[in-house]
Order: sequence, then C-alpha cells, then structure tokens
Amino acid sequence: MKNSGIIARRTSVKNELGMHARPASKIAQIAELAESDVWLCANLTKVDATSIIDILTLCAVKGTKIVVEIKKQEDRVILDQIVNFFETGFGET
Amino acid sequence: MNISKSGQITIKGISGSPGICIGKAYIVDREGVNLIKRYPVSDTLVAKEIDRFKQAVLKAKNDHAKVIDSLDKDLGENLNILETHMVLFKDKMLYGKTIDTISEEKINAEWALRKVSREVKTMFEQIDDVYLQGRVNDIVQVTDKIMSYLVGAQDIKISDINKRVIIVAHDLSPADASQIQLERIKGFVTDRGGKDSHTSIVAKSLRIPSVFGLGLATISVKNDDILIVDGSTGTLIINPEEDTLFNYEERMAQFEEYRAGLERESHLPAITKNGVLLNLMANIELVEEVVAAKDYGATDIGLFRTEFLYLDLKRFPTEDELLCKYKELVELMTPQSVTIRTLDINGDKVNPYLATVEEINPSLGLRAVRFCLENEAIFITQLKAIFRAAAFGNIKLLIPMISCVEEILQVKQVMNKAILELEHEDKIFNKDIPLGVMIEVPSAVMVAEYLAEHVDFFSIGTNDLIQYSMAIDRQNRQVAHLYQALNPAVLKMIKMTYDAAKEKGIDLVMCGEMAGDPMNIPVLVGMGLTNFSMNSASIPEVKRLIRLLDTKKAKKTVKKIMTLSCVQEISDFISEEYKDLFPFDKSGE
Repeated sequence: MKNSGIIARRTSVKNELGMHARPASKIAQIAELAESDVWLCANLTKVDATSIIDILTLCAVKGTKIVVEIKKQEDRVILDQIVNFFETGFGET
Repeated sequence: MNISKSGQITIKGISGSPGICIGKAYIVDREGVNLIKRYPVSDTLVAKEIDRFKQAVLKAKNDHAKVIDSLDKDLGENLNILETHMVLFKDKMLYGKTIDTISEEKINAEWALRKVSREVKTMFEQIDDVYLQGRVNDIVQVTDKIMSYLVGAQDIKISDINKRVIIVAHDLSPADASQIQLERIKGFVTDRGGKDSHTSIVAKSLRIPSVFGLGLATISVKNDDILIVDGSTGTLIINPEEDTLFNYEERMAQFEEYRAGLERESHLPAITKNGVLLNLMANIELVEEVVAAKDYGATDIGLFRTEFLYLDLKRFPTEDELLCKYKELVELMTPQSVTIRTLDINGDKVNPYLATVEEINPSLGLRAVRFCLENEAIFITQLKAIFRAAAFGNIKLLIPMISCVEEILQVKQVMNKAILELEHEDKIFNKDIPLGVMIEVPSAVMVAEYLAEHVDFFSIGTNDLIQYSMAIDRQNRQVAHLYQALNPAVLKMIKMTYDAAKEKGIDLVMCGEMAGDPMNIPVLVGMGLTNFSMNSASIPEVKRLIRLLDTKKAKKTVKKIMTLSCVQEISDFISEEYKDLFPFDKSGE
C-alpha cells in the first residue's frame, strides 16, 4: 500500500511576519516539483501548495498550526523540505 | 484638496520619504490597459487564444526577469518583491484559471484574465488582513504587465526619461521604481499606495522625497506643471504661487543643510553644550558592520549580538569558529572596546530538534542565560572563545536576561570551569575582562544593588525591560500602544538602576532602542547616563542633539517629569521644552 493514502506532517509558522508573499512563493516553487498533489491545511482550510495566491488566503500568522499533506510516497522529500522551511522560520528569524 | 484663487492646488497624502523637491511634472500613464474589450472565441480558435495568452505571460515574465537581472543584488527587500511577482505570473489561481476560463466560457484572453484577477482581488479584499489587502497591488501589477502584452500597449519605461522631473503616477510597481535613475528624478508622487506598500519601501531606500495615497494627483496634474513635493509632511502643491515657491525653496535649503550637517558632525566628539563628554557606541550583529559603525562616528562597540553565527550555521559553532569571528572584530576595533553579549535566544531556534517541550510563551521561557546554564557545554564553548579573543584586544563580557543574584553566581562558576579548561589546554587567553549583566527584567532592577556587588557594569536593555515591565507582547498589535519608553514606570526602573550603579561605583550603559531616539536623550542625559549604545544609523542624529544639549537644563527636565504620572504629559513636556532641538519633526510643519 505504498502509493495510496495521505502522508502528513505537522508544523507551524515560526517567523514574526507570518506567511507573507516571499515564503509563500518559495513554498509554491518547492511544491511545483512534486509528482502529485501537495496541500497545506490550517484554520480548517485546505489549499493547494503550488499556488501562492491560495497559500496567502490561509492568513497564517505566527503560531498558526499547519499540516502539510502529500498523496504519494515519492513526494516525501518535498514534504520534508517544506516542513523544514517552516521549522527554520522561513530563514528570516 | 485646497485650491487658491491663483490656481495653486494643495493635496495632502501620505508621507513616503522625507525631503523637499521642486520641479516639473512628468506623468506616467498606462493608457490602453484599462480599456478591455470582450468578444467570444469560437471552439476552433480556443486553443489559439490560450496560446496567445501563454505567449503574453511568457513575454511579460521574460521582461520581468530582465528587470531582475539588471538590478543590483544588494537591493534585498526590493528584489524579494520582484521575485514574488515572478512566481505569481504562473500561479494556478491566476494563470491556470485564466486558461480554464478561456476554454470554458469561450471568451478572449483579455477578458478572461480580467475576470480572474478581479475574483482574486475581491477574495483578498474580503479577508480582514491589512497585509493581504496590500497584496492586491502585486496581483494588479502582474496582471497589468500581462495585459499590456495582450493588448499590445507599450509600457512607458521610467529608465527612458531623460529630464530632471518629478514622476506622477497612478501607482508605481517595484519594477518601475527600481528603474528610477536618481540623477534624473527629483521625487515622485502616486495616487495609490500606503505606508506599508512596496513602493514606500523602495522610496525610502532611494532617499528621494515622495508622497503617496494622493487619490487624484494624476488627474489634477498636467505634464510640465510646476510641483512642490514635501515628503516630510506628505504634501503635494501644484502650480505654486510665488510666495509658496519662495518659502519652500528656503525650507529645501534648510533641510539639505540639516542633512549635510548631520553627516559632517558625525565625527565630532559627543560633548554637550556645557562640556560633558558622553560616549556613543554601536550595536552590531555582524563583523562587517564595523565599517559603518565607525563611519557614523561610534567610538566603541557597545553591544555585539552573537546569535547570528548560531542561526546561520543552524548548529552550534565550534570554539575555533567563534574565536575566528570574535578575534577579527576585536582586532578591527582595537584599542576601542567590544562588548560581547553571550547567546540570547532559545536553543530551539538554533536546532529545532533540541526542543523537548514546546514553550507556549518563549519570551518567558528557557532563553538566553537560562538556556546557557542548562546547556553548560554550549556556554563553555562560547566563553572559552571570548576569553581567547580577549588576548587580542579590549573585550567586555555581557550576560543577558539575568533575573536574580543566583544566576550571576552560577555564571561565574561556569566561567571558572572555562578558564580551567583553557589553562589545561595551554591556550593563550585573557581572563581579566570586565563582566557585566543586562538589566532587562524587572526583578533585576529590584535587586540591582545586590547584582552590582558581583559585576563590573550594567547594560540596560530597554526593549525587553519595557516589554516585561508593561507586560506586553511586542509582536501583539493589540497591545503595542503600551510599548512606551517614556512611561513613568520605565523611567523609574532606569532611575533605580542608575542609582544602584552609582552607589556601588560600577559603569552603566544603555543599549536598547530607547537610546537611539533623540526624543529620549534629554531625559536619559538628565538622569545622569553617559554611555549609550545604539544602531549605528541613529548615531549622527543623537550626536547632533547631544551637542546642543545642556545637562543642567536636562537635569531640571528630569526633576519635573519624574513628578508627572502619564506618558502623554511627559512626551508633551519634552517636545515643548526642546522644540528648538527637533527642527524636522515628522509630525508636521
């Protein structure tokens, strides 16, 4: 059952400014490389991680809990990269 | 808007960047972009229409990439904005949906693009978030770019302008603004944009006068009209009368003289009018900042924040890595002193996997010296590097977030361990360096007289002291108004710290942002403080003020304000008492 089901990891928005356009565009760029769908979930909404506009509509301020989801095991690296990007506060501390 | 008999029009907008300029108007328009036709596309031509749209995006994107390439990579923030636009061009919600709309509704690309971009705009505008509402501009600018290729209208290139003019535009995209060549443009005004807009960030970095949010500027102004732009007060005057012109020419000269004077004076000593010598030092984070600090006239480095290397490496640096940086800094500054503050963060910022429990309130958590005492090995590594660097110059050691006497005693024990290790390893080092503590927690103020027994100096960190005293989270906008440097509670804390230091005969420095605001200087000097450390860029202005200040008058001021109970009374009193010393107050004429 390697290729079915959703794989998810939890993280949160750590930088002071929250999810603004620069990190959103970076995430969209990373997610673009995935083979299948990548989703970000927060505040009871689920958005397409390849769309910067969609990501911005999450209104994710500092501290917002985020779940990053992928559909295929092959995109595990993408998942980890995105979570890591969140964990490092989008490199802006 | 105010129109006089002679036709002089005055419009108030939002101050973009300070300064005054007088010149001829040059209107930058994007005609064509707003006139969009709608027509149906037959089934057979849908694919072709989509292709036309894709071509337009591609051209717009290439064009945009060229702009990015032609820019200086040091533009930092500006560049980020432009790179965000780059990704927006192909965003699913814009690009994908436009293509879907063309094929589903069988309409032309221009109309489909406009429809989609309007939907996105409405969606953003409905969200109750100022930042997102501001992002509407980004979407509009990207759409405009694509549209101009679809319609075939030519953008006016700001880089083609060859007269010394004042730019008047509906809105300036960061791409437009970054093409402004300073020697050709005196200033600019726009209908749209606000304090947080990208354009305002650009204007400030260009250091030319600008006013935004004028609403009707582009309609009221004709090409070659004479304009006065007062960026300090956010005023635009069209077709000024002779008197107004004369008046502003004088003010422009004054402002330029003021700016030049600041730069000239920055190397003079910080001596008050009645001959008291004060010490202005710089807060820095990177060794590279030393040059700027010296240029701005800093004597010493009053605060070297050491977090950067840890965050940059995303792991804990080795003793030799730290030594290398500290030694470089100390050697650059010698014989002047460098105050090195030990690690002032939560450890999980360096290494997320280090966190064992999630802290709900990190600023009250295991940070700074608390973290270092829990993780002795990390602390010892840093202390050893500092002692070793001290063999090459003049170092002072500063410990952050001390909240009680026990902590400083523990720190001393760890320092001894570090020294023993260095002796054992036969390293060259210097252990006889002054030890100081940050006074930034209210409890430290209350026990300052006891702490003073154990250290050589205090450094007041006002940013945290205000936050902890007023019990406010600095990131929380709802309570931000309580972040008051001149609050009587804060002033009393500073006074108590000063008294304790004086009684015990130890040195006192203030290294928070409070010292960098000229408005606070009369109070701090009046209290008796003589050592200030601040962002280097604030030094020239603070120095100018100090050179005009009389400490005897400042003492009287403090005596008076220590009897005032409200922050507003205090700031009003200072503004009134020292109004001659603040010639270009941002608040008005």
